Amino acid sequence: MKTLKDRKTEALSLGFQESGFQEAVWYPEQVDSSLFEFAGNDITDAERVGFSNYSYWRSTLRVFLRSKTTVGMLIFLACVLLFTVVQPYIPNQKSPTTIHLNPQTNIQYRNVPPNEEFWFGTNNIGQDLWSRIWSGTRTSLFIGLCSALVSNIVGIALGSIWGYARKWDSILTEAYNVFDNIPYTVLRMLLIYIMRPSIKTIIIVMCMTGWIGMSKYIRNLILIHRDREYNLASRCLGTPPTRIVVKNLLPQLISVIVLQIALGIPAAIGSEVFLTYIGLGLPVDIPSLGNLINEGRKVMLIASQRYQIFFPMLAVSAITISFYALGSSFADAADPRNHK
Amino acid sequence: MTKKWTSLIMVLALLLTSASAALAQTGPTIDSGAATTVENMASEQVVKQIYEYEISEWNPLVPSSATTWANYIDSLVEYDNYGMCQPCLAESWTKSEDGLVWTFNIRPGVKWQYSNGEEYGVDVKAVDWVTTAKYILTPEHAARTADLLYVFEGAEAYYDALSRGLPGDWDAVGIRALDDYTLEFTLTKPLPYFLSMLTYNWGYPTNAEYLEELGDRFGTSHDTFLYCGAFLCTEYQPESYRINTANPLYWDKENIHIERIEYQYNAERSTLEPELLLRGETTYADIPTSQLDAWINDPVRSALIRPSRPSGRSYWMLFNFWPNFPEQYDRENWLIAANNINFRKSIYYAFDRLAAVSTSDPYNPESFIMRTVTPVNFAAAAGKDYTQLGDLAAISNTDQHQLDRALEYKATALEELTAAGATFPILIYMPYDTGGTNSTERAQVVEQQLERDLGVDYIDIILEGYPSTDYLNVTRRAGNYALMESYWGPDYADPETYTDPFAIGQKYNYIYMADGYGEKTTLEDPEGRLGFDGDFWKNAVYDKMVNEAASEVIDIEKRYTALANAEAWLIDQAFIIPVGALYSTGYVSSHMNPFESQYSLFGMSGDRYKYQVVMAKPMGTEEYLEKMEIWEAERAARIEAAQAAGIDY
Amino acid sequence: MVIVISVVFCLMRLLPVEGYFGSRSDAMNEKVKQQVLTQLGLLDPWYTQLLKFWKNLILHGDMGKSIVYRTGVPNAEIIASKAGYSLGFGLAALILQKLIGLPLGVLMARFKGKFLDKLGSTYILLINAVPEAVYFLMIQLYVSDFFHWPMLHKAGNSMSYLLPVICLALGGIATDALWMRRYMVDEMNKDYILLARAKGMTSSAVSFKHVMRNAFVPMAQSLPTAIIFTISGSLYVESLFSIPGMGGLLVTAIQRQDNTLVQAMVLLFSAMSVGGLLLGDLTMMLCDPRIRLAGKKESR
Repeated sequence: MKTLKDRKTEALSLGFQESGFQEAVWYPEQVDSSLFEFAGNDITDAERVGFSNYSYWRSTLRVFLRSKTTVGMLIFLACVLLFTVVQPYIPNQKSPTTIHLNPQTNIQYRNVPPNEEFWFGTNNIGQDLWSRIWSGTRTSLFIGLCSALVSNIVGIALGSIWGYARKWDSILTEAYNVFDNIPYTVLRMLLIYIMRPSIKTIIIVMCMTGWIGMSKYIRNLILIHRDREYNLASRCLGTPPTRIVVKNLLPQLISVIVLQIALGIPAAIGSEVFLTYIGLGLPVDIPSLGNLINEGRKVMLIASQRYQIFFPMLAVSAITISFYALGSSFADAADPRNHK
Repeated sequence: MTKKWTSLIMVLALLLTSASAALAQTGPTIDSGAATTVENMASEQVVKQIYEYEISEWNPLVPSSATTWANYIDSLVEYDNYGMCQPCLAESWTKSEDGLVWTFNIRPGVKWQYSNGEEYGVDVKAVDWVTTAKYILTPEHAARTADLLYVFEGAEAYYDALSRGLPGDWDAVGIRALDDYTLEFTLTKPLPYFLSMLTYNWGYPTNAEYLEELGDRFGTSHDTFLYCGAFLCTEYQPESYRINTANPLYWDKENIHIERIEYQYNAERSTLEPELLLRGETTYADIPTSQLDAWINDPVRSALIRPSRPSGRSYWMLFNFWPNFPEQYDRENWLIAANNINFRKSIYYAFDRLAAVSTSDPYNPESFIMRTVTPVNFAAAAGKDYTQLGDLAAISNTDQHQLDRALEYKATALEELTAAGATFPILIYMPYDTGGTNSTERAQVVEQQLERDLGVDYIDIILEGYPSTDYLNVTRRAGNYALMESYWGPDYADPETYTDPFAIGQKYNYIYMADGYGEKTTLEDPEGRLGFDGDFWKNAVYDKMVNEAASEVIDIEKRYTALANAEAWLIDQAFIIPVGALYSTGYVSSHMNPFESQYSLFGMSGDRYKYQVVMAKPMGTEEYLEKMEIWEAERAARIEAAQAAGIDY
Repeated sequence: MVIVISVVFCLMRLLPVEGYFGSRSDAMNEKVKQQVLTQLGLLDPWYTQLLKFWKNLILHGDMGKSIVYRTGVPNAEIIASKAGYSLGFGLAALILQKLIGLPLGVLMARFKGKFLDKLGSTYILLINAVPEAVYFLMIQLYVSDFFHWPMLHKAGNSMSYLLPVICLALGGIATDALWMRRYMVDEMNKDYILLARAKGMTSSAVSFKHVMRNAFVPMAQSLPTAIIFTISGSLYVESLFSIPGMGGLLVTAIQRQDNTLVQAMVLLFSAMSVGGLLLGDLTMMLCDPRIRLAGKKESR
């Protein structure tokens, strides 16, 4: 059973990527005739061998960086990433797990609203929320990145073999059917029970279920492209299959893949929230966005303690939005049709 | 494209700020003008409760806990609001000189009824208890309480025979119906606390004809067993609601004041319950510790809450003598340290239980701390509370948290352990249950408090979280810890019940394996008892003390003092550090008066609604403390009077 | 499916057995524990257990009885009573979702780049950025307080049906609106639309006669799956509003180690996804005369 969030993410990913293609498609009525001039016949031009200084990656980068929002988002994300990494090394930062005691009374600083000492306030036993949120972001991003990368690499590899090598088709189809038919929740829960919740476990669990959808997707795309003329030509010329897959097919899919990885990170955070909700997330002494949100939810009904849910939520929202936006801009940029 | 995103972000930012502004406002306010009648009794006697765990077992004979049927089926005896044993379905009883044979006279005229209140057509008779016992003692029914019946003559042999496929001899089992209204129990040895054991599943009668009639379908839902209690479960929809209606045919109707009990299911009970109480959708709410500050500091809300009543559960920190934790944390080193009494004592004296208990109740942790294994008010002899008897008095009356003494012991331990070849810091592997917020917080508090006070060069506590499901199995019961928190709840009304976890064969902290506190032996040794690791052990010092104490069954004062001495020894050796009666929540808001309800820390009596009324307003802290004091005095007086008169209670 | 169930079955066997003893786990006699496990059939070798399960299922159509969740009650009965609730709420939410989501998408496409479009996009983004667990709770708290509706669902109280349905639909509305908007924008630039426009059709006529009809085909394919999967319910909504639906059943069944119930549910979900795909293809064929079943040779 996919959770609602999973299904949503999938639907969204489709939505974003296709809308991406669409947005930049060239509208006939926008053609500006001043950009065109009649080309005369020129013998030297005709003799020149077709050559352009077009470099795929450079163009992609150029188109990608053309949008100011994208650049802004990129800088924002880079800052967040950088800060999550360096935050613990900045002087005067509190440890995310230290319980702060009031030196006079020796009583914990419980539920202190945000002030200049505790920028985001403290939680129920006097731990600093500011450092917990950064530490949580670090954990969650790490989980997200790892699981998105691994499950996509595995998914792409298997998907390519599945789509390209006919011999493997039936075996992999069977394997896919088995995995896809076990509700994800069952698989995830059982794996966590067997392995015990820890960062490693959560990553493994997410990878175990993450590659399934990706490999199916890649397989279908490869099936579409596999028997196109240029690939037939390559094959006739004796190009080995691995080379065809790596050089001819995968570049076609690069935008899709990047988008999937970008969406995989917020999706991983979403599933982590879900796992925490059913009691199988990371223990609270390893802060993560999932358990910070879950902790915050418990006090949401209390007006004066709502900051405890607001800040973690803000972090999740900001990360989710920027990954969505960046992913779809990059998918646009990676589409050669948008390289003008 | 660019514009779209920019504007989107801006709108979003705007929305988030407005959302935060909305967040800053106060939540729904409560109607403080609730009408208070003179006697503070609600006009409508309806209890409304939220529950988060659905009843998974409707068959009263199978599970390990009998609470579900507390209000549906009556037992032989029950407890009053001072915890004194009262006749229930047994009108009276006698016990033989040697204390082995107990005879109960069953109340005549009690009807068996269906869940809708219709009569089944048969009265409750003595033979119904025999039916129950026979059902539980048949292995094929997989009853979880079969071993509780081993106190009866011939019961264990009967169960064993059946489980080996041999015919059992039921006539030899000491549970007999002499006639329709006389029931006789024969015990294997005298038990001063036998009456209190009657409030478990086998204290419920079962009608044999109905049981046979339904066969497999017996006890699969609220309408497949027979009722004879104060309430009938008239409506039930799993994971939705359950409605109990007062039984019009109940034999003790004048003590039932509540008309209906409405249970509503909600999986997020702990989050929503306080809000539901404010809106009048429930009459009881646990106030989670995380929300407590806001309640205490709000003048309207703080009047609605009171401390929760400690249960009989006793929590302690355990030193483990059978370490099976991951080898990377150096089991050998831990064993050297754990076997050194000065090391254990340094931790014992450094441990700040007040800080630990604060995670459950930060405002009034004193009322939840425990210095002994047995809680205060559990038992008494010769006019003294059990915790004031013998050597236990000294432990009860002094605070163990003495940092200077801890540091003295630390100095000695450092010396001795270095000589013994231990490496510092001593790694202390401490697992905890990630399922509960409080337990997670407590683990962190304990870790940081001990490390701060004793120094990280001396000890290094390593926390490791395990999920709730199967938590104890992979940790304590597998010896997979060095120091951890665990608990025990009483099974019957005698302090002996609190000695069980430390005996040979128990999966607690295996103190019989400590150097010099027990001997390893073999299967052939008649004295040997199976330890949990598969080896045989004998001569455990603690077991010996307890057995000697428990062999006294006539002179209660002597018995209790000896037991208290054993308990004092256990604590003095610092095998365990008592922590407290930890609740998930230290405060509750309830329309019921806790001092009216039946009081018993074991069995099903405490879950009954007999004697209780619904108040128009929840009880406040002051009123609670006031009534608590009166109640404690009353209870002590009653116990003394009963003991003086030689009445079992 | 046979393999799926067997794999799940074996995985469940890896879990420990302590869940079956309840609160007396520590106090209980070892021999009695062994008896209990024997009687529950848990000490048999795994292949015996597996064989027993399949034999019952095939010979008697029996999915077994729950052993922990609701002891002794047939699994089929448990699932049937819960699925009804989830189906009811899910269908209502699905209708609401289509009724609001699709027109919203159309409108957003019509007013692309205008205020409405931005408002809609913000909504979509917010729904996706804020965790469900958080915004459901907020809706429950504030909306019920504002209108004085009960917070929890109560059978018979019509107002208490409203909020859960709205909550269930919110996510779907966002997905549908996003999809519809994209589809409309895509199609509007296709040649046949240009032709229609060139013929002088009004843009609204084009949207309704051409674009919407075409949009219906992919929707028709996904609709049966969507309907069937409303049975699985939503964990968050059902736990918050006290709806006795299927949402948390799988999670609880696993947590309580009710093996037979888990197997029954896995069986059900597999059947559902296969059935949904088949029905989807069928409906698509009915809606779109160009598609014939004979051409379909896709696996699954």
